[in-house]
Amino acid sequence: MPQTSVVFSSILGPSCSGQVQPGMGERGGGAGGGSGDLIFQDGHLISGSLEALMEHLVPTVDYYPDRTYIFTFLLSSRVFMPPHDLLARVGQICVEQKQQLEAGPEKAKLKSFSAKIVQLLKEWTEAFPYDFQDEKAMAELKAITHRVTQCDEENGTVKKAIAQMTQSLLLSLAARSQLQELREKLRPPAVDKGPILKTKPPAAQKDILGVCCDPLVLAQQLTHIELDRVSSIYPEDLMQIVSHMDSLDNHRCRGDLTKTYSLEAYDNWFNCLSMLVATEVCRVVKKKHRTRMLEFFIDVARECFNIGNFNSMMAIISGMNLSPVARLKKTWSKVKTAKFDVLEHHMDPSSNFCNYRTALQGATQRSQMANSSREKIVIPVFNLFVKDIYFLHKIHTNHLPNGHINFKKFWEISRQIHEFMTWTQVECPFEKDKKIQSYLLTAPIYSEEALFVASFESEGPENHMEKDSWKTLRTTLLNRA
Amino acid sequence: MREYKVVVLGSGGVGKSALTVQFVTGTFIEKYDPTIEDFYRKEIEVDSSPSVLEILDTAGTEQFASMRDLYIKNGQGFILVYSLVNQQSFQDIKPMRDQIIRVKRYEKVPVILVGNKVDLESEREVSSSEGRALAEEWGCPFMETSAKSKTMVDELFAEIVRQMNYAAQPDKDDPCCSAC
Repeated sequence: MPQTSVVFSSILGPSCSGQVQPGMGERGGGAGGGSGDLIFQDGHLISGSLEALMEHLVPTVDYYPDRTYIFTFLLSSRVFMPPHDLLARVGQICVEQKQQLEAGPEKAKLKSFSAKIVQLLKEWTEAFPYDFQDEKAMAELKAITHRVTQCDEENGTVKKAIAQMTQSLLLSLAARSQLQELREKLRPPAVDKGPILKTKPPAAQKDILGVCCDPLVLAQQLTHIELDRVSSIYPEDLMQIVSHMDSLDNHRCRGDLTKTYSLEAYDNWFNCLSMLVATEVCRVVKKKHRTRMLEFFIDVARECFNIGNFNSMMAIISGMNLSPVARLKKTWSKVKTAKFDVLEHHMDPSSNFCNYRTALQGATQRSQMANSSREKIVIPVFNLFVKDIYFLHKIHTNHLPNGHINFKKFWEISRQIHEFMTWTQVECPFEKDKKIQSYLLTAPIYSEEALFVASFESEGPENHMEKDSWKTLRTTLLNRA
Repeated sequence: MREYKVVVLGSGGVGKSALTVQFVTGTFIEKYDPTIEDFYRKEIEVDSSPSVLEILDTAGTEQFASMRDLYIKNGQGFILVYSLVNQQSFQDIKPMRDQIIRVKRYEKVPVILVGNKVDLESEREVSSSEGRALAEEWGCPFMETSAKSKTMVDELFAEIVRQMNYAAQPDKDDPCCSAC
């Protein structure tokens, strides 16, 4: 979505730290009763009551909120209230301010006030168009814009700005719902669940090397798929990592299924890629060919690393570490493991994955200095990103003991989500190869059982535990047949 | 100093992260940033010998099933957590123990079975004796904890260190710290 990419790069610079710009930190004073509830520390807003934070969002005649604040508060407020409720409150504050202006000596300033309100709504609709999917929110938006237009009837500029805003909002909503429909239609069961093979396929069936034997090309196609998937993840989807947990606690349900779909699809992709790697290795009958297959995937993972596609790399390494693959000792003994050791070193979980984090930092720097979209690619290991946000949420409370919202926490979550969003908007420099992608997304994947069967058939059980599980597995399969 | 990696497993919502957070941060929560190297690490003294524990927690990412074997491969001790107010989570734990043994290819893996949320006694769905019976079947210690009311959390991590020490003793020729 080209509009969104503009919005994100403009709302939050790369050095977004939640710093309040001089002269913008304090509200115009007088207007909001709760504004005294905001607590600053070295110029940073660190906490405040929900009411004061809401008032801090609404412009006055001589105040306009910092753009990082707008993004962060809009993103985090959904943890506490649905967007349409926030919009309703914003509408109320607007009305109060308008009445004050109309009654006071500054009536002439009504026009500039209304322009600022429209500017705020514009930023909101651009950064979070999905908030307005909801009919209630759309009705609130209309009510506010209607009131604001009245402030400036003789001049059409406000009216024009509102019309433009509404139009682009409707366009991005339409684009998203179209994408949604398209995805639902294109969603072959294979993409997400994978057709699960209970038995071995005919030996003649082609394998991945028959489709693509160049590790670099395969890594590029994996990157293409990754970028395609992440581009449909929005900041509010990522915020669900935080708000879903709370809804579990409160037995309240927030958000709907369609919104989590893109996250779910992306999670599934990771598991599917790991399982595909394991399937490709385990189903090869000849040991020599299995060795070649392992070496091929090691090379693919290395190319992914070089590109900055850490997510695919981690999925591939996980696939090679799945027991049915890892237990193939005879096969592994023929593999030149030096290369694999290097990869495993990068993805070693020790010290909180510090090797990976260092590599990610390097890639981030490269991306910031990049001249080409090729150099811009950073695809982090998504599950580690999710885990970081999850723990960030777990170690810091939403509220401080005095009832204030712990806004420091939300600056940090928002900063990380924003950084992720800049990565999702990189345009993929590699051309799509339909044949390879269709194989990657639809090739049959073995179930865990089938992987073990194939693995044991390739290299028989080695100890009594394996013998037992092989026996149990065969009995289950026989009974089923 | 001995260094150990402990993997915490269990289905979503059983309170794994709460146990980990309680252990690694104690009461000084403000300082912590989950992306730093030392976040999941803590020094612990057990039976008057100090060691360092690093927790590999899968909390919040249970849906990435294919990564579990990688975590297991890297761990030396395992804490299997269910929620004693949720019978399903108790059922979910059994295949996880099988998985550990499959990956480790060894039956005497240091494991502790943990029923968490003992503070919610009135909503209990899994009795202590059920938990104890399963632990006996596995030949491992059993504990009931509460991350919320800080019950038995430090004891739990001390016990897993003991288990790992115990498991490491017979074959001293296999030092665990080759990576350091």
